[in-house]
Amino acid sequence: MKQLIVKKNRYVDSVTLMSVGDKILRMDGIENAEIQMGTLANQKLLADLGYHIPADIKANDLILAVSGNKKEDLEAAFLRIEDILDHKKGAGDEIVYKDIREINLTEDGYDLVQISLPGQYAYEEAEKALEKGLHVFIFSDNVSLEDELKLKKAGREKGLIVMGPDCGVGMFGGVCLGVGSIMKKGPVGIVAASGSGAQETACIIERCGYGISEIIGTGGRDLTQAIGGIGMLQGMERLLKDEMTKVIVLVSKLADLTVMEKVLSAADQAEKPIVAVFLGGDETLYKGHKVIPAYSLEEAALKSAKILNPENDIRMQYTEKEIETIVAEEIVRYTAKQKYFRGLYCGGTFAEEGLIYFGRNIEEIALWSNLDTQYAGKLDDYHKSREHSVLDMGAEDFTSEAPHPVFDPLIRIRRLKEELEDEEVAVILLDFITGPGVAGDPFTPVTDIIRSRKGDRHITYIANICGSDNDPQNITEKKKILEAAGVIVTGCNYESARLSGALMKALKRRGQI
Amino acid sequence: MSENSERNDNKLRVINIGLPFFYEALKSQECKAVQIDWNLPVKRSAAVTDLLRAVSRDTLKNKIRAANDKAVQCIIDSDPVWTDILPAGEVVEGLEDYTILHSGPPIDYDEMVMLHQRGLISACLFEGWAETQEEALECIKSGKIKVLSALDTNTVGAGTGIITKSVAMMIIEDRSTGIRVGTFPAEGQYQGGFCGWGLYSSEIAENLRYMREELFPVLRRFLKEQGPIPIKPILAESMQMGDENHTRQTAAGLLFEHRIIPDLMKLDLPKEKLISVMNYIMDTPRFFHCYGQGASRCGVLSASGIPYSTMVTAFCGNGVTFGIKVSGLGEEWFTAPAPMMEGRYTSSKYTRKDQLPWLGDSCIVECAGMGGMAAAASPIVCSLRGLKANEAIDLTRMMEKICISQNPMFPIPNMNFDFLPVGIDIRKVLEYGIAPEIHGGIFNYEGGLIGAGSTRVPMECFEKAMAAYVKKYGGFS
Repeated sequence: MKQLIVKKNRYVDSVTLMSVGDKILRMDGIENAEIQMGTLANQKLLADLGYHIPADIKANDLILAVSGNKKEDLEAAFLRIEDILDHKKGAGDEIVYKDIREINLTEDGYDLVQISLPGQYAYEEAEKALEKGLHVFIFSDNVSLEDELKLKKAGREKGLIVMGPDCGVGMFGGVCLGVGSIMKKGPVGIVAASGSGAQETACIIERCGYGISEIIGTGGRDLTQAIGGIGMLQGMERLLKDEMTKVIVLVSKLADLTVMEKVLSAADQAEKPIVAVFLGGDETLYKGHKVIPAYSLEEAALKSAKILNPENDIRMQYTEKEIETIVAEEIVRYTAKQKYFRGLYCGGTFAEEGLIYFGRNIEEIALWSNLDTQYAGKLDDYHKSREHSVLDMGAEDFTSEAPHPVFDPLIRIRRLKEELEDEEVAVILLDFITGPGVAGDPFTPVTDIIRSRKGDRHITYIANICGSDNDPQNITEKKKILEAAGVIVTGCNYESARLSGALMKALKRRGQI
Repeated sequence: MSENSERNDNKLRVINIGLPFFYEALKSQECKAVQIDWNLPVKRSAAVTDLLRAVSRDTLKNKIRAANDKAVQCIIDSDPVWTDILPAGEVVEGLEDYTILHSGPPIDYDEMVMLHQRGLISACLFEGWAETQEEALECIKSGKIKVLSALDTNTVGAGTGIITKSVAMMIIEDRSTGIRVGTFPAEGQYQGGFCGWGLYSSEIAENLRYMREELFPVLRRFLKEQGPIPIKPILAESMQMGDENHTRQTAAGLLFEHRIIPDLMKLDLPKEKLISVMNYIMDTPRFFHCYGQGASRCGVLSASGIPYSTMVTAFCGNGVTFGIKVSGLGEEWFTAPAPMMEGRYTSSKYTRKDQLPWLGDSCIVECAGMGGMAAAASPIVCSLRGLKANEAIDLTRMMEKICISQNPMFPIPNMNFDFLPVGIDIRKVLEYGIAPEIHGGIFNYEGGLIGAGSTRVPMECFEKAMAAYVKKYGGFS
């Protein structure tokens, strides 16, 4: 069968046409293919080949003529001709996109846009992503509250999740985002207004033998009055619908009371068990609500594991007795001048959790921090610690001077050296965060310093690793390296705080004797 | 992992903008990911950002998209043919007695550059509305003469664009819409002459007489017997032969001559007459220029007045201001001070001091996706400005960003046969901060062409147009 299509007034040069004809002839079931301008000579040629030539063809018309046995083959040939003439990009062409909008989603599907640009540019890109119908993960900070609200409202309207701004950790659709760890897949879903909090909870759950379905980050300001918890409510809704998710954990620092109340009320309607940890909150917060309250990240993780298997005897890492033993061993090794604790955190929530623990459990303690917090005094100069100090080295005062320590350990290493030169220092706390998006090896620089330190003062190093076995850093091996250097590696940040707190108390007692 | 972009698991697929190691982290998880080659965005005023936001609402955007698709298709589908030669009064709407057209956006006599002022006087003398220059000036100043912008009618005024009812016009008709425009022919050795440079002298008067009495009757007979002559195939082929059809139409000119002269010679007319006409066409530099102008004007005129469209339908300057029109905003002008061109002068005696800011409507071809927008097609023209061939290609690639579509008529060898961009979108111009590139001739203050070069359309025109657009379409519909 023969078929002929005329494209009126379409000029294509003859060299291009010849190459098109060649390509079509190589297709299955095609006997003959002529793609020609409608000159008289070409019309004659086509007529000789047995094509019926419509009357009004002019030299400037393009004729596509194909013959073959089957209609489908002819149709395929015409489609291919159009593609070649329209110069559609072939497979394998390296395409560089300068803008999200250049990506044709029907040709090249994507689900989410991850944004880590300087804050002032993040809004625009997030807006473009939502326009294209994509979820957004905004790692960037310095986005205005007003813009955050606009984005989250727009996302909610379109049924798209807006994680962040200032969202550090996410695990979404089986992929870890930001500085998150590659968690084992499993039944616990986390919605978190705190990146390191989510990560820590997930890692402990993994250690209890369970996996994570998703971690939906909301950014630190989601539970403010202005934002009204849009992200957390939306995340919770998503996990309630998600089949894999059996238990949901809500993680945040203590936030706006009415918003927390709103979130807890929404959780009351849920048909899945929900564990909530609003760090710094107490029993009154949860009164009258169905959620299972937890007061530390560790507890939140343990409680969700317990829900999944009530038979499991999962407990906190250290018993009081074990802590007493460690403290008794360490306290006798310090000089008389050594009196203080220094916590060098890179996870913001870890610093917060530590502060809350120390503030609540150690009476009349001289505690200082670079953070504005009710649990500690504010350091005049965050470059210089005094007495017991808790530093969030991922906070803006530090990151405005150097890269965030999870990406580049250097700033914390420098600080560690300075602290070690202070003869009043007895205990050093370090947190380590692993994952594909963070520093490849934050451990060795620390163990190098510990080993090369001169002087015979004893220092107690307490560390915990917030990470998954699937992370590229290989945490099992790194734990051994730390321990070989004399570091006490605890199970999680809360345990580090417990142990540090006990040492602080002991140091205080010793001072009073 | 499979290279196939088809989804073979339900793993998230991620577009990463920002820190490259996040992209690496995604890749290490065997996640389908792409890194955007992001660059610092254009610095825009808060006002412009607000305007862009106003037109970014989904409902409005869908309307804009549909309108722009329609508008740009008018250009792509236009099928301009040369049908006739007629006095301007018979084809240009509103061109009655005592009416003079000029290039560029509307301007008062007192504000005009000397070329335009002189052109109006020449026009009065040419039409016999005045006997002397003084008398002509009196006519103009008294308001007896009506002065219009050529682009407010169905013509186009290259150079000074001085057009009155008796000026002969090449008639270009868009067969797909029936829209007809007049475009004045190059005046022999004077090129610009009366219409282009607003000059009138006994030699120019004689040349105009020759055109009217000797050239046109032959050409009209030719058109009657052999016409109409399709312009688009000539443009299309010439764009693959080094022309961009604004500053350069060398190939187009040859193709045009090749197309018409053999048939012209077959006319049953005395040989001397035919040879005289043939010589006139071949000796006139850039004889084809007016056809590119007319064809472009046809295309954008078809695309004018489409509600919601943000596509540019006119660019032009009068030596003082530069103006643009936008399809969805009808006949309203948005102006800014006329830009100066960068380029090369025909003689070392000329400097920037001799140069007039942008004058003329010829950049209508840029609106139709040729000229500066098609720099890649003609690196030789770009070399006027000292650009290398690859820079000419980069320039067109940049222009792609501010355009609505590609024109399948123009696959460009230098661009690996990708199509030239077409249809300038005022939103994209502001969004990317990229102003359209326009090629053109450099005019002397005192008249005459003293070089060729290029410039960019002033951003201010787009900002004003956008403000008017938001006002008109609210941004809330």
